[in-house]
Amino acid sequence: MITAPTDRRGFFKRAGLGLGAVAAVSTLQACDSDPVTPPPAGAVTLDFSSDVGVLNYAYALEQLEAGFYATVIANSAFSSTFSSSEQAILRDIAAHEAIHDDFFKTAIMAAAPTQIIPRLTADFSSINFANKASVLGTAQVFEDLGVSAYNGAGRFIASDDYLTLAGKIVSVEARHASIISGLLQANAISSPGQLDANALDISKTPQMVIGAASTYIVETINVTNAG
Amino acid sequence: MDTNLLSVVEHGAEAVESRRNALAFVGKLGAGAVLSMLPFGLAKEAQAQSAGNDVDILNYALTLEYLERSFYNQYVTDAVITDAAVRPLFTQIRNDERKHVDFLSGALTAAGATPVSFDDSAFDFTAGGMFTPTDYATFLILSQGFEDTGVRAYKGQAANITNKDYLTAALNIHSVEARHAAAVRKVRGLAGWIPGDGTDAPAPIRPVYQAGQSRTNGGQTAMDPSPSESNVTQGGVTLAAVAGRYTLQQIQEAFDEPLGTASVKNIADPFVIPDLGL
Repeated sequence: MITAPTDRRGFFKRAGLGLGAVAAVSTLQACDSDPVTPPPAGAVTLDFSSDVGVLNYAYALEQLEAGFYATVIANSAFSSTFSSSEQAILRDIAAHEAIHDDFFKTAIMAAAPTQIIPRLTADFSSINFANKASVLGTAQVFEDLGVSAYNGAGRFIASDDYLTLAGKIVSVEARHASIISGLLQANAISSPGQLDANALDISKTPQMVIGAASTYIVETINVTNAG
Repeated sequence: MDTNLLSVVEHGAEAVESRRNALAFVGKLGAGAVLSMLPFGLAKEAQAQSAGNDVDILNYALTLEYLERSFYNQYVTDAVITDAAVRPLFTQIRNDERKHVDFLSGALTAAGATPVSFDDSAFDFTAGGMFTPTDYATFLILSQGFEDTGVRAYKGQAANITNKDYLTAALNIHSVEARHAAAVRKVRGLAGWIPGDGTDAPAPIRPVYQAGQSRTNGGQTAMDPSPSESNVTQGGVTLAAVAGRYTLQQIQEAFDEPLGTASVKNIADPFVIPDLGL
């Protein structure tokens, strides 16, 4: 069982994940002017004994990424913090993650509407969205984590179609990870230690991934039947 | 091949079709690998099918890694890469492909199978005089083509791999090829992601981004129903642009598409001197 941090008292925690730039802004503004008590953190279970559980896992991660980039590009300092080429890259990635987020929501609602996990609540209080190094460093963490997560989840997917679908998405996450890494350090394609001695990406178990992601998610996420 | 006939008897036409695809790339190059499957088959026929297919897929992947390794072995030089600033990138990519060759060879040997093996002379990156890979711009175009093909080729085999550890390893290579591809695209002044079916790509590498092709070899034809990189229907869901959030092109970019063996071999053929088979 993975438990999210207990300190929920942060400003960014109330930013809705994956709501898109406009929604994220309005949420933040609402918090600023009229703070409301956030809902109590619920518990979410990802059951890897079925493909729906794996889809929900991907959905949770895509919510996290989409929420992060929506907040990045909606920040008032976005255009002064990043060069025009960096802005273009971050806007593209924000769009891709929003697409992944929307896609999983639609696909899970179609396949198993009673089993879809809820929208998660972000806690981005550790990120300085007006600081290039903070944003790009977090982006690199999220992208490499996404690659490791999809690669590690492949073995739990029973359906050939869903496995191929995961492959279609993970290579785009890897493209993101490579480009972000190159912004942080010339010629880099990953964070240090992300590739092993055989030049393979290091995959991570769902437990490891949720453990890392829980810093940024208010809800407690439980992982079951994942080996 | 004997093992194909074995499959006909044991598993029927469906198995034959599956094995035809999986075995095709091995062709005359991988007779050793095919023979090495027989002990598995004798041990337990139910496992023979999966173990044999996995060996064939790993040898297919290994062949592509040899192609990439040979390309970078020959052309990652200061004379070719005139922009000194990106030499460390291509040195890493070359070293990564060397490691992938060693890793896959080792995995096959550890499984009791025979890995395919090629030296650099098995490949001709001029494609019979069509290209001048020593020209930096041409080198970059070919590099982009090989890396983006590699991404599609691994993706196309993921669902065919039976052993979960092989699957994880293949996925862990697949994503590194995508990292390479994005970095090379960036060097060429492109976005790291693929904006559609290759209309922005130089003509020689346009098929890398297009829909799957059929392949005819040795009097037989294999099909590849893979969609092009402009596909926007995923998992039965047709995605549409949302004003203010994302465009159709960004939807195309957000999903990379697989490619089957028929198309990959068609793309690789001009650069590979041995017959790649069906």
